[in-house]
Amino acid sequence: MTTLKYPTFIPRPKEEYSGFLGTIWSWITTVDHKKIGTLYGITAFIWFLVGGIEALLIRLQLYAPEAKVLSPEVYNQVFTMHGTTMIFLVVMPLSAAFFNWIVPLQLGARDVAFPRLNAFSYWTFLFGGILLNLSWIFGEAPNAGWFAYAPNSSFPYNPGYGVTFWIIGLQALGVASLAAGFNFLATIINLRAPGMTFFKLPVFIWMTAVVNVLIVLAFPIITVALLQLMFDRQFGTNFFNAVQGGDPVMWQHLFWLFGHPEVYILILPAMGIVSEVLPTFSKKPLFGYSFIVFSGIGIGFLGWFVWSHHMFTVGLGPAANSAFAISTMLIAVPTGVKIFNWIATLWGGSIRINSSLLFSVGFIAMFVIGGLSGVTHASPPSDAQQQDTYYVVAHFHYVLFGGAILGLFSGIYFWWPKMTGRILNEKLGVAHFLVTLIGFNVTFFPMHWLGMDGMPRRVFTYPEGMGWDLSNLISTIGAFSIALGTLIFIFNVFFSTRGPKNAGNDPWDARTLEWTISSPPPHYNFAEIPEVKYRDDFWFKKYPELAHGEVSGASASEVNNDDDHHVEMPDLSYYPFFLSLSIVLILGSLLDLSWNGSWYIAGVGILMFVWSLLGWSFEPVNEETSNQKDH
Amino acid sequence: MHQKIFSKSRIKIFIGFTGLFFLILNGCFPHHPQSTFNTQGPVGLEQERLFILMFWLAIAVFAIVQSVLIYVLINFKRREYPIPGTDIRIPDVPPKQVHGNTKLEIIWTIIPVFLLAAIAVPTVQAIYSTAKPPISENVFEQPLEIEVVGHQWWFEFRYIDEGIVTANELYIPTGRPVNIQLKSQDVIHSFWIPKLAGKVDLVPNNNNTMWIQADTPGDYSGQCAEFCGIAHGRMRFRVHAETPENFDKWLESMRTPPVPFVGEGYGLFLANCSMCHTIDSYTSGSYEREVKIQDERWSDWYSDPEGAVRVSAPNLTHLAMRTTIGSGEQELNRENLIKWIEDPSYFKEGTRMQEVAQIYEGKKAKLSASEIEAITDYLLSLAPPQLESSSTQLETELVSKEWDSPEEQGEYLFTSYGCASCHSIDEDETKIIGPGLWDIYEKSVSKVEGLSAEEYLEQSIRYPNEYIVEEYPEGVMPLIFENLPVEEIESLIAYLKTLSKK
Repeated sequence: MTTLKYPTFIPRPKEEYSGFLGTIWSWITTVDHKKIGTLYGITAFIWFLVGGIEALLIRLQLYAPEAKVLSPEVYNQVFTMHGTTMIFLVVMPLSAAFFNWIVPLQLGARDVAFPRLNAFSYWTFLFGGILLNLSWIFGEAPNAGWFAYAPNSSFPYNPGYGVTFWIIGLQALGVASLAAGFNFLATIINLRAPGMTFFKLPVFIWMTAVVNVLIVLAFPIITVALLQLMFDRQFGTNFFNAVQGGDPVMWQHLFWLFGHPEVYILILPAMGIVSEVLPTFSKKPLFGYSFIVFSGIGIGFLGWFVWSHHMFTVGLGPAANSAFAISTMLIAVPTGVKIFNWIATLWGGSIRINSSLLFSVGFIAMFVIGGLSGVTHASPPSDAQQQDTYYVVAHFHYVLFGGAILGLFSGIYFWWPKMTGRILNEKLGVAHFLVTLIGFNVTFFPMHWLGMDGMPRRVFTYPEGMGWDLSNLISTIGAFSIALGTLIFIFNVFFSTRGPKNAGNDPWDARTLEWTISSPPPHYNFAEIPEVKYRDDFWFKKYPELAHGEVSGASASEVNNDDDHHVEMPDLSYYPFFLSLSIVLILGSLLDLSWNGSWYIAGVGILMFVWSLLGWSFEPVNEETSNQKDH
Repeated sequence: MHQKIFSKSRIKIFIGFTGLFFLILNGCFPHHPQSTFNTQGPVGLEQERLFILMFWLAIAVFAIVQSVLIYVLINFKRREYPIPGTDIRIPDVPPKQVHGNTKLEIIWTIIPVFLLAAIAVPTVQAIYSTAKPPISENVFEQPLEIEVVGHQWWFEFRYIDEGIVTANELYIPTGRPVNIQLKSQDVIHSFWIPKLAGKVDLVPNNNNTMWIQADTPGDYSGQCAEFCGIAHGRMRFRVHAETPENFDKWLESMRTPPVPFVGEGYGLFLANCSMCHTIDSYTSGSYEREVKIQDERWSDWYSDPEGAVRVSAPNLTHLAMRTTIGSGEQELNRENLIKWIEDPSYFKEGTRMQEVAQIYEGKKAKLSASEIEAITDYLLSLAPPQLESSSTQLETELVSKEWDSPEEQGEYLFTSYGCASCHSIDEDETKIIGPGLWDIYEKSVSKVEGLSAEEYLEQSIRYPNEYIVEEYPEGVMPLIFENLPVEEIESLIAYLKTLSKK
């Protein structure tokens, strides 16, 4: 019997690298969840700046009536790309950065379940994002909104490359998200430290699990919808083409059936972060752990039954509108539970107020506003006046910026010492928080009023005499304050690299396993896999007198010192990189089928795809490098 | 006996107070044509009430949650006590380790449920009450039926029972429900008059209905609310709510033909604009014709956006009665109209007119300033007699002109009716839009069996769709020469005869 073997003439990535190119090569071949987390974080932050510049352009165009900063066409491209970028290239991957960094550490694991798949997720995300933004070079960025409603996103209303770029870019990002989703679910289910039962999981892990279930279930829907839209555009099918009897409303159902769970994909990671930050800085366990966990699961579950509230004005009829109104209102219940439990966590605590805690508290305060305005358009008659106005823009920025982004910043300040060994400057952190929070409210609060005053969304300008001038001007000023806040943060990051790595293992007197190891952690994370007895295990091992029961035995921090224990880690691999590249090449070749070059790109992509898939499959894992040369 | 907390009078005071609150906001920013407060019809009012109910509930929840949050932050801030004489500060003792309180948590799970029920019940009631107008026994209070068709980027209004078609400015009677059927010819739009009612989408292949009613006469500003492409921000309209008497007068005037206008502008309009813009929707049968031809214009564009020479366009019947141009974008006056004709993108980028019409081809109009002014004068004359403006002087000098021969008159008519814009008269028979007319008389002799050349030419002028020359599309030539005086037809034919070597 013969077995297929990995061919020995193909070089294997080495462990030791030197020089600039060597460093780059080491990042390309890495399968370390921490390095991949860092890549996710840096990339997402760069997109955050890009999306932020797009936001500033939008606000510049709207600062006064009939302004001429952007042409209508460019404005449409900018607001489409702002939305798409912030959702798919910023909030999701920034959350993924935390999943990557924190999930294995909190689980007491040495890596994620499938390290090479993890690298593949990152590279596909990166190439997908680049593919999407290549459209700027063609001068034809997507211009149909992040929701790309058919038939406005199809021929003959939208010729050109823009929407095609959007479709293939999102397909690539979907592949990345799906791969990561399965990976983290497998990790959470299988790689928990001994003794860490599901109800001893940190809440951040729980929220990660819910998010990834949502990703795994929601992304196939958008994948199918995008495929149909692409067929309508590229091959003349009529899924959404009303003229030939197709149904444009079908696109909306498919899009929002994905799109609404997507909203919770964006917000739940931040909720997980806040659930870690608040107990740590108030020195109390999370109030009502199981209520918080189950409300998170409840939000994830109910999130599937509310999509049509994005379509209250589409004309689904009073019965459908009533049903979706009630299911939407129900979501406020688990969300309210979370808010009250977080406040109860702070209540009676010994609250250390620092930038991480401030961002978490800011999250609660802003999310409450976003949630309440959300209730007002859960009611279809009231929503009839608000739908597609700036009121909705205000609402979802309170949830996604005031919620998700503030929560993620809280996580950055919280785990920065663990990731880098350095603590970010506290004064700059507080300044960053204050400027951002104030700038955020100055930007988005007036939009409530603008919407109720009849200003629709997605208009590239507005006439004089509508009463919208002052609010828009204020809003634009606010947007630049947010930019200033972000600059403070960037300065803080650069400033911190000058300082010593003196954070220590546990700067915050925190509660979970990641704080038992050194900062930054060694590449194998845990020299010995810790055993877990309690929820917030580390905390109760540090303070056994605070637990109700007896705590005995050594704390995890004593076991895990920094000696290299010669832990075997997965080998480096360049196949994930090339597999991602091949997928994006194949997707990219769909851009213009009438151009002959497309076939060459597709050919190269398919060859590379087969090669990387075979290489990946037969690549020896955990080979013993010293013995390799003798054979 | 103590009063109920939510007695009717208290609710009234509450709503009144809210009204005052937004009135003050209004006061700071005086002119708000699209404000969703202070609505002027039953649908908008119902929606506004529901919002105000939720608004105050939200304010209450907001105030409680945020003040507790702030209290907690201040009250439970970590305190550190310095040890005298040293730099060391010790934190206070670790707080009590509370893991939760099931009773408390159940309570704050249930309270929101009750709050939401208080919103859900009136919500469902309002969904149903705003879906259809109240049924009335009174025949005179039956709803007015209107069809609204969304186009990129303007609104077409069809009065189904009255047989009237107009665009971008909707006239409705006050105090009477208006049933609106919402359709779209191209992409999804949304019909929204904030002062009267929330929006409902115009979805191709999925016709919707909504109803509105204006209780006070006035002009209400409306706007498309669903992103529909490049000119979405410029897709606006006006609603003129008139007293029933004035509304009837308006209907009457829409059925009255305008004072005849003779001048260069008429011909230029016919030649360059009339393929897409209808101007005679006051005649009987014009409604059906307009509905049909609007569809054909659009199909032309849809089936070949690059090559099409026409596309659906606003009906311009009695344009001078309107207050705006460019779909609610600019005030209608001579200056704006000239700018608009010269270069539509000056006010509105991306119009199909500028993209499709042969005089534009994506750029400025290929017309001289005087020609544009002539068209403007013609358009401003489009009004029923009592409203007609001072442009009457123009026509008199032209009517009284004496002609030396029928050929001369024919040539003049050929130019001023704009025939030359579509039909070439050169020997090489270049195709402009319609068939070339060189040697047309000779060709006409045996064109259609049973018709002499004269009869054939007359038919082709009066009823162009009766016979279509091969390879030319039907319905392109405007149907506006049906009632041309016999004398003019004769001189036109006489002129056409001269287009020959003989």
